[in-house]
Formats: sequence, structure tokens, C-alpha cells
Amino acid sequence: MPWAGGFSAIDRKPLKPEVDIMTTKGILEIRNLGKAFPANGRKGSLQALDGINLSIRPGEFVSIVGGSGCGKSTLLRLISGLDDEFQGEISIGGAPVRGTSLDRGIVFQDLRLLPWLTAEANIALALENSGLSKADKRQAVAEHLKLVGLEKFAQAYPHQLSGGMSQRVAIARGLVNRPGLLLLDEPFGALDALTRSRLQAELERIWREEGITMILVTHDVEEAVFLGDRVIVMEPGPGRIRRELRIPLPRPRRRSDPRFLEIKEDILREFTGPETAEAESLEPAGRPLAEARLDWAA
Amino acid sequence: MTFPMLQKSLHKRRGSAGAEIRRWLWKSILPASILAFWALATRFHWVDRKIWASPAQVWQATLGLNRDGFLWLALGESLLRDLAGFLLGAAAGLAAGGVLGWSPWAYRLGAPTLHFLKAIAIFAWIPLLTMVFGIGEASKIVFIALAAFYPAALNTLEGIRSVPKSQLELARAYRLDPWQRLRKVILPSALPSILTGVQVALILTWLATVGVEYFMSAGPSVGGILLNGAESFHLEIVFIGIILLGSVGFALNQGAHALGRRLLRHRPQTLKA
Ligand SMILES: Nc1ncnc2c1ncn2[C@@H]1O[C@H](COP(=O)(O)OP(=O)(O)O)[C@@H](O)[C@H]1O
Ligand SMILES: [Mg+2]
Repeated sequence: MPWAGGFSAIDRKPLKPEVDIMTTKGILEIRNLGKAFPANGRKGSLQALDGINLSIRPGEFVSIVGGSGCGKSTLLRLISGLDDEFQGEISIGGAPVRGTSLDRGIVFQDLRLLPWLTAEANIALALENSGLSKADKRQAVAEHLKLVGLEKFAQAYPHQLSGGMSQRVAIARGLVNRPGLLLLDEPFGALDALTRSRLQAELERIWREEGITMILVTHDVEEAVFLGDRVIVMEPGPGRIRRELRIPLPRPRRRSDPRFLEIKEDILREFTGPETAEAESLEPAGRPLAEARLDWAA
Repeated sequence: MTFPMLQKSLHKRRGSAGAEIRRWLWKSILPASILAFWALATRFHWVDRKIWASPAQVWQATLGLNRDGFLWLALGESLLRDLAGFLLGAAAGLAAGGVLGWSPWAYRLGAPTLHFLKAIAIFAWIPLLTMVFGIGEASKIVFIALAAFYPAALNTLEGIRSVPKSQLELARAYRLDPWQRLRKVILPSALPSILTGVQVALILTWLATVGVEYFMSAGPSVGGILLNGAESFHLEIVFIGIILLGSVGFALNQGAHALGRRLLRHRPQTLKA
């Protein structure tokens, strides 16, 4: 299989100038973050995020779960620097986040592959301003196509790829320039179960080996627990942090571990417990909760 | 995973020669019927023979007219004039549309004017053009250029302005500079619309060419043939002009579409022009 070689086997040069790496070596501090969208012409009437406080240390893996519309994507956009209009503070190592940086990568929920570029060229787009030589770029792209098991599809265009393949291209593009901080917005949503667990393991390995700080938004509680050092549970209206759990399990985690299952059940109860009557919109009716994967379409 | 199937779809499918011939037969049924009806109508005097020429007469007239290669000369004149006007107008249109699409300032300043000017039928420009440029070649070429300008400008403008926000955000996330953004995102994203503009411009300039030749009496040219036939009441000559006009228009249309398909060959079907 494509990923049998894995990433560890690849001997790679550092991808970025020192300065960039410095910026994410500090703690990501989010203080009293709020974001309002103008709705129906009235300004600030839709509070997408309110009073978010979060502090993430370098190299940490943080999972964020929550129903659709509780501001998860908005939060990632603000951290990525794509949107500078917000209340509160976002800083990394004490320096406020302003604008985008190649050191803060993002895998968009809607993928955003450019339809006129091949899989290869879509990944290479992330290296456009990396300062790498042409040969190094080509090598990095090839390695990442291999990583996601799409080396045979280097020349395929997005409309020739399945949803899962497109997602893998987007993940490869997010990883290829080795950002210090990687924001992943439901990156495994469209994958089949087998590919998903493979890529989860692969992502964990890259995270461990490269020391990349990762923030993963997911609607899959099991995935959140499997990957996160911490799981942040969010709730909507306005988007807030409902709960924060540390996952003290050793890695690699086993999904059948009783403690794993216990934590998973505990989080799932956030969405079903009697004390959350006001949040019933979170849970699609008639969905068997035994499946950890809640399909809150976002 | 369905690798082989997808791999296969990476290659273009091609119809067999037999299917190609069948398609051509289908396409020629209607023109052939019209020709046959025309021949019958003149043969059996269903129409006034003093006015209506028969296909055979048109053919004779064509041979007569083309004895010294006159038709080729006329066609060449018209095509050259068309090309000059098209290049001038399309280039100006692409540039204007590009600037208006690129800069919100330029858009606010220029778009209302452009839309107002677009609403003026281009033949209304002829008096003004002749007053400014005289009745020579310059006037004709500027007129043809005008016909190319609006579709090129408006479609380019539209294409650039409708580049999805998400794609521009992607450019921002990867810190593309303005030039990279233009080359990697904006132009390819706007390409289908720009091509549509160029295709429309190509068709309209041909009509404008023949039109301006007719109204401003150019020498040997397709419009000139039409004018000549009309003034001398030789319907067979008029027919020659019409057939030339139609054939060139048809060929331009086909060529433009083939070019568009080629440039957009990697796009999903829905994007193709
Ligand atoms: N650009 C925008 N304009 C207006 N409202 C928005 C915009 N983006 C998101 N929202 C609103 O903010 C809320 C949170 O959205 P989002 O962050 O996408 O949630 P999630 O990713 O958790 O599903 C939703 O109510 C959504 O409608
Ligand atoms: Mg979302």
C-alpha cells in the first residue's frame, strides 16, 4: 500500500527559514475571543463566537467537537488569520496574529482544490512561496502524494477524484510546507472508515515526528478522543466552549480500550444528557448514538 | 478503490469514424433539403424567376465572379479587416474588463459607463465614427473593434468579479503575491467567461465587418458583394454574399468552440463553454 513506506522513511531538509519556525514556537493564546457576523442588515446581530479562552502549547494536539453552527470553522479562520475582524485577542508566543502566514496551515472544510490544477499542482500551490528550489518542491509534492496514497493520481484533476481522494489531496497540501501550526477542519469527513483510520494514524505519526501543533475540528467524537491531547466541546448560540477534557491515555491509543470507550461515552453524553435540553438541536433525531460518529452535517 | 476505472477516465473518449459520419449526415439533412426545395421552387416557377435565381444560376455566377479569383480577394479583404478590428477590440476589451474586474475603484468608476455604452446599438456609432475617422479604413476597423470590445470587456469583467471568495482566500492562505494570484487563481477561474467573451466577439466582429462594408461601401469584400448585388438587382450575387457570410460565420463559430473546448479540456463538463 502507498503509505507502507510511511513518512518517517523520508529524509527531508528543513522546509522553512528559521524566522517562520520561531513564530509558532510560542503558546497560542486565545483570550476572550468573540466574533459577530452582520445578519439581516443589522450589524453584529449574529454572535458566532463568544468568550472563547483557549491556550495551546507548541506541539499539542487539540480536538474540537461540536454540532454544526457552533463556530468551529469560524474559530479556525480567525486563528489562521484569514479574518482579522474579531473581539478579543489571538497571539502566538505573545505576538498578535495578523493576517495569514505560511507557518499556520489550514485544511478547509470545503477543501478548495482548484479545478484547473492537477492533484500535484494543487499541492504545489502551497509551496509557491516556500523558497524551495524547483527540485525540492517536486520532491516534497511527490512525497506527500505518496503519503496520502495518491501517487498514481498526480496528474488527475479534482473532478476526476472521489470525495475521499480530494480530501487526501487537501490534507497533503496542508502538510506539504510543514507549518508549525496546522488547522484541520473536518478533514476526514468524506473518507471511508478504513482510509480514515489509516490517515488518522498517519496524521498522528506526522504530528509526533514533526512536532507540529495541530487543531482538529471534527464531528466524530471517537476521532477527537483518538487524536487529541485535549478535547474541546463547543456549543452553539453563541459559539462557546462547553467543556474541556484532557485525554490521559498513552499513544498509540486503542479504540477498544475500556478507558477510551469511557471517555468517548462521557463526551457523547454532552450531546444527549438531560441537562442539555436546550441544545437538542445538536442532535439529529433518530440517529443511533451507539455509533460514535455523529453526522452533524456542517 | 476504483483506480483502473478512474485511470481510464483520464483519457479522452473519442467517437468512431462511423459515428462521426452519421453526425455529419444528420447535420446536412436540413441544408440539403433547403437547397433541394430552392431548386424545385425555381425550376417549377413557384417563385418569380425575374427576382429569384436558381442554385445553378448562383453557381454559374460564382464561377463568373471568381474568374480572376475575385471572390478570394473579397473574402481575404473582409477577413483581414475583421481580424484587425477583432484584435484591436478584443485586446482593448480584455484590458478594460481586466482593470474593471481587478480594481474595485475602477469598477465603481467605469462599470456604469460601460453598461450605458453597451446599451447603444453599435450601428449608431457609424455617424460619429465617420465624422471623426472619415469614411476610410480607420472608421471601419474602429467600428469592428467596437463590436468586439463590449463582449470581451463585459465577460472578462464578469469572470474576474465572480472568482469565488473561497479561491481568493486560498490565495491569501498561501500568501500568493498579486502576480501569482492573477496567474494561478484569477485568470484560470475567469477563463471560461473570458473565452465566452472572445467567442462572442469573434462572431459579432464578422457580422460587424460585413455590415460596415455594406453601409460604408468598401471595395471588393463580402459586404461589397452584397451591396453590389442589391444595387444591380442581381439576386444571384446577393446569394453569393449571403453564402460567404454564413460560411465564414459558421467556421468562426466552430473554430472558437473548438478552441474553447481545448483550453478548458480539464474542466468538469459544466464549466465548458
Ligand atoms: N461569512 C459568514 N457570514 C455570516 N454568518 C456566518 C459566516 N460564517 C459563519 N457564519 C455563521 O456563524 C455560525 C458559525 O458558523 P461555522 O463557524 O461555520 O460553524 P461550524 O463550523 O461549527 O459548523 C453559523 O451560524 C454561521 O451561519
Ligand atoms: Mg464548519
